[in-house]
Amino acid sequence: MKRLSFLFAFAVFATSLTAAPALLGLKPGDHICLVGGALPDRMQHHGGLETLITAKHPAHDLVFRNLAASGDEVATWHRSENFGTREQWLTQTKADVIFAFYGFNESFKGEAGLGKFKADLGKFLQEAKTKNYGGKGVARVVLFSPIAAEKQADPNQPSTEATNANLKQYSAAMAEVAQANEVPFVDLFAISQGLYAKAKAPMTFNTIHLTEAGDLAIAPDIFRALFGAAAPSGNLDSLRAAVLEKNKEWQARYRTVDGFNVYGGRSKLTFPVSKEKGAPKITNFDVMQQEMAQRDVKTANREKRIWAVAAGKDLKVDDSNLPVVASLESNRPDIKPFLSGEASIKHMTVAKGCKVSLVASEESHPALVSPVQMAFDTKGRLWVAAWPSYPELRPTDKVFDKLLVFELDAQGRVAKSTTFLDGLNCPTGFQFYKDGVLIMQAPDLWFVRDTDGDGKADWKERVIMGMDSADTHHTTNAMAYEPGGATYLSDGVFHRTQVETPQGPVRNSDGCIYRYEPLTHKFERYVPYGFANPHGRVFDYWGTDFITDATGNSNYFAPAFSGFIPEPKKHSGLKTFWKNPSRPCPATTILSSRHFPEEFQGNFLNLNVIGFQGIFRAKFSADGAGVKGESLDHLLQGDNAMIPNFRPICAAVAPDGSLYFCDWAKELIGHMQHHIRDPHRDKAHGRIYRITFEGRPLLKPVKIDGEPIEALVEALKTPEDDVRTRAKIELSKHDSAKVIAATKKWAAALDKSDKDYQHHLTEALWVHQWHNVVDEALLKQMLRSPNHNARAAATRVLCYWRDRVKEPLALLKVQATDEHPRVRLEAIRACSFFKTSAAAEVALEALDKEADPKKPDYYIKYTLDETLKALSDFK
Amino acid sequence: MNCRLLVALCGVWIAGCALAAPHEHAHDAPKIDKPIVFLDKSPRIVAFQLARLPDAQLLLVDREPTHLKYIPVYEAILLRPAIPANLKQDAVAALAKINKSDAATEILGALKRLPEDQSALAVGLAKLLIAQPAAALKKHHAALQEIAGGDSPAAVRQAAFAALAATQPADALWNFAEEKSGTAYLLIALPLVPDAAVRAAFYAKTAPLLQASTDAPLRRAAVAAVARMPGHEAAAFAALAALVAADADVADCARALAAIPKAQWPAAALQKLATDLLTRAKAIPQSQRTENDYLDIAQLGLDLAAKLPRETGAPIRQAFAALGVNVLRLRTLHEQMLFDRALLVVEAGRPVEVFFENTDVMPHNWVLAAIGAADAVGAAAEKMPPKPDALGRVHVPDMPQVLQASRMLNPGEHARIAFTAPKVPGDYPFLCTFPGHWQRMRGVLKVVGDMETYLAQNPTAPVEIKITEWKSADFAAALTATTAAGDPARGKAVFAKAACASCHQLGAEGVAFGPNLSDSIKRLKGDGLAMLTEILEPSRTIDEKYRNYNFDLTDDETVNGLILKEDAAGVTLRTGPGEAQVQTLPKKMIKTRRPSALSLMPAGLLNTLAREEVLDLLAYLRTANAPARP
Repeated sequence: MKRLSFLFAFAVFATSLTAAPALLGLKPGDHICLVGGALPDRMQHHGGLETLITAKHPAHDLVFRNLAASGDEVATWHRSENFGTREQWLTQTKADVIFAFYGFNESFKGEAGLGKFKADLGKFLQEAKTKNYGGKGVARVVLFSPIAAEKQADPNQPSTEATNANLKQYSAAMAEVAQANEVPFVDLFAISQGLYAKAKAPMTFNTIHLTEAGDLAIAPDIFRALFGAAAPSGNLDSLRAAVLEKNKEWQARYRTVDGFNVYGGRSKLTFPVSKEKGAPKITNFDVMQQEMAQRDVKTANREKRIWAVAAGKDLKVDDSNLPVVASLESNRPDIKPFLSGEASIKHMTVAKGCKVSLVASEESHPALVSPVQMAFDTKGRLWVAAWPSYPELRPTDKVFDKLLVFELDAQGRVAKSTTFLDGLNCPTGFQFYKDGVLIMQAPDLWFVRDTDGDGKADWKERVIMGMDSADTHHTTNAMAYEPGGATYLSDGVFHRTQVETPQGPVRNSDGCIYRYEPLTHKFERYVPYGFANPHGRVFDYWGTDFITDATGNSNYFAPAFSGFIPEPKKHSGLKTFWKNPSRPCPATTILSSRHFPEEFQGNFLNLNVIGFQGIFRAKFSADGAGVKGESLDHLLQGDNAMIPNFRPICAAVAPDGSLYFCDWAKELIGHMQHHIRDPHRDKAHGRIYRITFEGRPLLKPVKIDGEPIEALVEALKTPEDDVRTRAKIELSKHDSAKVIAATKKWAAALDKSDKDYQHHLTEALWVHQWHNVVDEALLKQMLRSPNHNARAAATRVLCYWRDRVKEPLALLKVQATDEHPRVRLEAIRACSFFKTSAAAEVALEALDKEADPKKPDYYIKYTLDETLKALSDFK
Repeated sequence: MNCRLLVALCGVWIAGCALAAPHEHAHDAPKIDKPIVFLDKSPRIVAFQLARLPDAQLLLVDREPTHLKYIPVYEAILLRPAIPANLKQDAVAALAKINKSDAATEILGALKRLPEDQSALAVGLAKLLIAQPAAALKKHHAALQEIAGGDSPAAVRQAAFAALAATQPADALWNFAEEKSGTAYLLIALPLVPDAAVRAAFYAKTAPLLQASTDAPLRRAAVAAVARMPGHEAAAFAALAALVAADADVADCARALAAIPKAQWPAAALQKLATDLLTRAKAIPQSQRTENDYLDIAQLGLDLAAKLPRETGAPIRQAFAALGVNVLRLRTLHEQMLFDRALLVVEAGRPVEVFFENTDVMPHNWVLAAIGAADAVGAAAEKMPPKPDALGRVHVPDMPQVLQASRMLNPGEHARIAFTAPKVPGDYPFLCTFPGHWQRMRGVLKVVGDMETYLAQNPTAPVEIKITEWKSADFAAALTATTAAGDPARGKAVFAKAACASCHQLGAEGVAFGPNLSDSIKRLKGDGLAMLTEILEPSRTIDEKYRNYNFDLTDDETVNGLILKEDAAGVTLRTGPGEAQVQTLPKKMIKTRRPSALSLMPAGLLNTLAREEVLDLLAYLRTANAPARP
């Protein structure tokens, strides 16, 4: 990746020519620990301030430990089980100096929260004065205010007025508390505002979080405020590179993924070290803590290099001093040998007419190991996230997880494969966005791009931070797109997620699905529910979504339980729409492809990996306001006796209409059934297969990449869901004004007698939503469409435009008394977001349309109950 | 063991009142939000909103006996099983006022709206209905007949029959019931009729049904009814015994016979019945000899044998003993905080099984202690946090004096505790060790060397516990008379030996779990009748500080208690009067919470007291208002 050069301009001196007195003096060997939310959390990835301080103190051998996490507050430490308290970590890292960055997340409580914030802050500062973490005396605390929100010209960026009014007030309060406790204070609110005014380009990517350039720009001012002197200047690139290398190792240790298995509840699971009778037992904890000790040594080794570079020398990092990690034998010694990818096919039974062929396997493509998610891009290339490190990387691993790209030939076989991104750890989910890819790298979601067209990522921004990964296979995956442009992230049980957003912190404990609009940075809880592990999520032709909890393969009609519910509440138990024949389910999809015969259209495909190892097929029908599923013949079933390691894990419809799926290809798959480091966890296999329907022609792929806007809009008429989604992804690369103008023109010229006219109009509405452009007239037209599916979809759009259309509740009142229960249900759901009792009144109106006054439809009743539960907190 | 001990052990907990004067409390009152309810909507919308409210929140919905729109609120209250009868009575009165009708009309209306599967609720409404003055019920004679003779759910028809018993002579009602194919409903309803003379008037018609040839459902209804007709005990006994001999509804007959006071059992008929029961018991397969029916039959057989002379009784007892393990039935009494038997007798060193059913509304267990160790065990249990021991039992101290213990049974659960009786004869106390219960809820397992010798020396059966369902009205005259009734000195003795102080402070003495009695007495200005009402109807007004909450946890456990504190991490509860009964539930473990409309204080605590004792206790409380001095 390209790095910004760290050449500090002389503009630094312009900010303040008169040197203020130093707030802080450093001693040789000081340990400086950073605590707080995303502001300090991001500093470890950019390194501006740490580099300057190190450069200024070349002989001090300073130790920096970043203990920050997105979402932290002075009195909020939202971590998975047994993570350790702030106190414990300050002790473990021997803090002599504490840089405390608080106030950002707290500020969203406004005036009402100010008193508690000041009290909490005062308590923190007073307690710190009684602690001797480093053994060298009382820790010296420096308090930093939050930075201001940066007003940006881009209309998709959130407004900053209200946020800054709060931040200003909270910063002033911090100054007060700092003074009262005689603690040095740095007013980053003022410093950042000064810099924003002068900056030629935005310093933040979402108004609240500094980019790398923003971090480097503000670092000299922070330095000056701390030390009363100008920051060191000159080329510090090699020093910063050394700092970032160390920070990466430290982050992998402090925020290790799989925490529930490294230090939490399942770290206590014990396994015999060998199959000898009476062999001693070894826990996950035993082994994983030894790995953590290795990471501590690796961090220290990299620290030595920082000191050398700071002193004008260099040092080759030598990791030969790592402590030993215990090994154990497998508790599943009798692993069946793998058949080849090709030979496995004859042990798969498929639905009549279908045929399986091998696309790729580890034999032809050694990097294709443990594929976990797949998707076709706008060029028609197949992207696969490969996860050989499962459950997670070892400190000594030399092979990393990857994002692979396969170019396919006309026969659907691999013509060329490349690695877009290497060096990953647990890439559990990804999704295309504009000209790049959003990829999960817990605890962060990265947006990565290839800016020079060499097929490799070279640009990165952490766009969401704080997604937990206490159990790596419960981490965000199946990042489906809704038709309106938001994508969805998820957590399973044990997780403690906290994400900082321009609208304030979003926290959740255990299972949840989140809705994320990358364009506007909106991020919110979508379905907080008692999920074990919600792997499956898919939207159908009309934008109705279905959610699958993998562990029990429980399948839910999502509109019913995706209304607002205040944290920490969760939605109540919802019935499943389909009696699943087996479990667990790693992924679902909808078969939307005219290559397959009519009876396959819109089938719900449910993959299953234990017992039944294959793909279930079900068809939907209406169940009141919701749906029910009815099992059809299996699409595919593996013969467990012959290919016990066949684990179909994800599937996607290809541009030519065939269905691709990946085989995780493992005999051992359980996270908890075997030791995390069981040696029989396979790190060598992975397959991609393709299902076609014999005798039916493949579809001619719709050209998307590089097409003009008009052609892309026209592609929205295509029946295949995947084509329309990829067309909208391509459209998102274009200027919104041009896209909207073309869409309006297209919509006006549509053939009104086309049987799909209402769907085409709905797509036009979704393009508006995707581009964050409100068209009230089109919305109102679709709210009263003759097609109930279109009305339901428009009601969903109204929900997300509720703050930008006139009298949204009046519009919802009409939807709530619609003739069709699905529309009423969407209206009831939308009401939950209004946080007023007036919305409850609107939602209740839906009951008057129920056929039987004593027994309302199950889904209507459920959603109404949930909406009333959500609104019971509001007047 | 005799009834005096039980009578003296009285636990009293005056319910807090929302109007209580401000005073110091150990905790902040948890707040139940008054729900926002739109009453000006269509009936189905109003009904939907009310239906989803927990009882305590439903009771916070605005309601005045002035406007039609409040009708659904009162109607909803009437159809909630767990809302206490007195609040339902208030709702009935309000509905009568709004509708310009009378109470009986409103109760009848509620019965008609009753869902199919709500027989317990129907019984509650039937009790409200029967409590109406006979003159009022007579006015609704036609309506009652319409329901009783119609096709309403069985429980509703039974309620109407119970009320009709007050409006027309037995013969006329009987004929009506026959005409409407409702004789069985009438018979099932009869035990609800409070007036014994009215019940007895049906004997002549009922007795002929006690024939093997009668249809089984009708006969079973007659069997249960006939046992509760005073003045006809001997004849009923004979008829039931004859059914046993004819092998018809033996278990039902055994239960009915057990309901006839033992003093009325005809001595001459005992031996034959005992022998017949033995024959029937032998016919029950071994595998079913721990089931209810067998146990009821065997229990009656043993009770009968105990009243026989040794030479005839002993072989019968031995024969029963040989049939299976000696099972002792033990139940809890509804809202009394008592076991239904104060004395159990076993032979030393013999295997025995206690079949313990919790038929009360609060959790109870059964713990057998060493001789003289009841207080030590009870006090130790009270100090324990509610953490399960290795066997999953809570409040069972790990001490040698604990000989046997069941787990803590929730309402409706049962447990079997099989063990070998101690080898050393003596009085082994048993008790419920739920904190606050053990002072009152006790009995004795008498271990004897030889059962026959013991019975010969103790020919009278243990005295049965006398229960009176006291109502404030029973004391209204005595408590409002100018000369106050009751003796404070005797009342102090009642109070001192009672368990009141295990949950309440009087002055500075006692445990501060429920409201402070001195404050309550002051607030009620020493009004004896008001005090009595709060004791007898603890759920009528509940101070939010003492609101009981039910928590369903993610591990499928349920916990009840008062909320002391709540923060982001968890909810701190006090689950009982013991200092150790404070526990913090992590938020992540809480699935749901529901405020309860029921007070934690049982409603029937005075029901084992004699009338004089109630008056003495009130006299003591009335004069004990002065703060305790050191």
